[in-house]
Amino acid sequence: MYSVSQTMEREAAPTLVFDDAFTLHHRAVYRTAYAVVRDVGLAEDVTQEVFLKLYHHMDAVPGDELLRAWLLRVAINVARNTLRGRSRANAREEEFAKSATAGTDGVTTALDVDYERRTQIEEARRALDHIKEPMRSCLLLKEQGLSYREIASALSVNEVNVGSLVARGRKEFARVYGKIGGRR
Amino acid sequence: MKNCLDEGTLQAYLDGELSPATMKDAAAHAAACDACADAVREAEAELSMFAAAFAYEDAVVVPSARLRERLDASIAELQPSAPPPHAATMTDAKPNLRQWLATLAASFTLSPARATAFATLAAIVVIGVIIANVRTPEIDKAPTEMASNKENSASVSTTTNVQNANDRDLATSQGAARVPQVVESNGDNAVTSPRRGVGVEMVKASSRQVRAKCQPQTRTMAAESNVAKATDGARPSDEKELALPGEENYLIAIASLNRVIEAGGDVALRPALRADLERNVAELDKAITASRRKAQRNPQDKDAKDFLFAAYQSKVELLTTVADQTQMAALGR
Repeated sequence: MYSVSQTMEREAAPTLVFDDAFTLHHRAVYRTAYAVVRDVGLAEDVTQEVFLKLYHHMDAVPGDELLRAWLLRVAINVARNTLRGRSRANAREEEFAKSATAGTDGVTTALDVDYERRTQIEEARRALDHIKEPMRSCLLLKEQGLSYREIASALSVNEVNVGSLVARGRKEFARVYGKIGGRR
Repeated sequence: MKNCLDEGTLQAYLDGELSPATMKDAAAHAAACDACADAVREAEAELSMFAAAFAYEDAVVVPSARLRERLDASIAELQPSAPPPHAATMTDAKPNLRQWLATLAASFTLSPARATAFATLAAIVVIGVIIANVRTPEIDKAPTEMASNKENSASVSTTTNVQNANDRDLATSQGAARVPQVVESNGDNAVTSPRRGVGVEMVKASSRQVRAKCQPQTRTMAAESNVAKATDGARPSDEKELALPGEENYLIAIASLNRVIEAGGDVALRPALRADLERNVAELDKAITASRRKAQRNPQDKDAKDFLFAAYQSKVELLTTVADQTQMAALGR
């Protein structure tokens, strides 16, 4: 006879465990979120939301191999939605002004750097803002160490095109960043 | 130079994303072609510029411990009853549904979608097998009896057609279908999949039969199973406390169907089949009990209610088919 318990046992073993997913990928999620929202508090909120989504959709997310891509895709979307609720430019200026004057907020050492460094960070961010999607997200995800396959999955682009998207993004960044910073 | 690397291939080459063979070709070409060698140098410079520009950003400290604490707190809030909150693999964002899923998971560890699918599948498979077994003795009997049987149901042409088709189907697979061992082979897809198709047709045909009440012989029984006309005399006493709207009708229908099946007796339903039926009814009852408990606790929980009624529906369909077939078997005698 059809055995309920056997069916249960087979299907109850998830391919991945939530804890492992968090341990392995929370850094990439946080950094990706931070790269978009540029605020440690917001990046935390985004990370929280991403993993709650994972928690609710454990049986619907792709397997181990593409889990990171799924998480970072969600992270980028959540981060963008978070920003949409705020005035992007205002928030950025505010944050920059705050970090420039306050310096230490006890949250991160990355912002606790000298003025020159903060200026450099701001210039890099502005240059990045000039890069159009999906090149920009390609660069961000490549920075997080994603493979072309993962990037293609996360951004819904053809894997064959990832190389050229990265190349174009990188060129555009160099052009704008060189112009802003007078480095070239 | 020919076959120069395009920007995508060059980038993939730098990122180590080309296949080993293509990687070799690209390296050989870059070594031989001045233009491509320049392009590689430029790309590398740009990449290092990018990396340097974001070196401080990348150095941002990830507050792992705080993230974990916050997450655990949120999950614990969502699900106060379950001790290891993140061990569950649930699907819905609504906290109340999650709690219900947890209780459901505790009782039979199936996600609701799977549980519903399983209950339906189990019901359909068993119906198919029971029908096959109930009807087989008829086929064994004299053709004249079959003929008279067909005359009885001639008023419902569609139903008769389906049944005839099923008769043929069963006749061809009689060797396998007539003995109770078929029940054991339920787990085998090769055997169940065609039979499931038969079962679905049978369910449709027989429910149509009951609803249409076209056959004189089944009219009284069908009327008995009619929800509006039936009384609750045979309702199980433990279910009387229930006050969920809509549940009453299912209970009445189930009670009258049970009476019909009992009236058929052991002759119409062989002991092995009866045991199978009871096992499947028990599975459905388990699902009904679990979801009813949840629905009673939280009357706003629409999902629990939907699941409860789906389980009831499966049970009614199963019993309807069995009741129908016991009557048919009785007529064939």
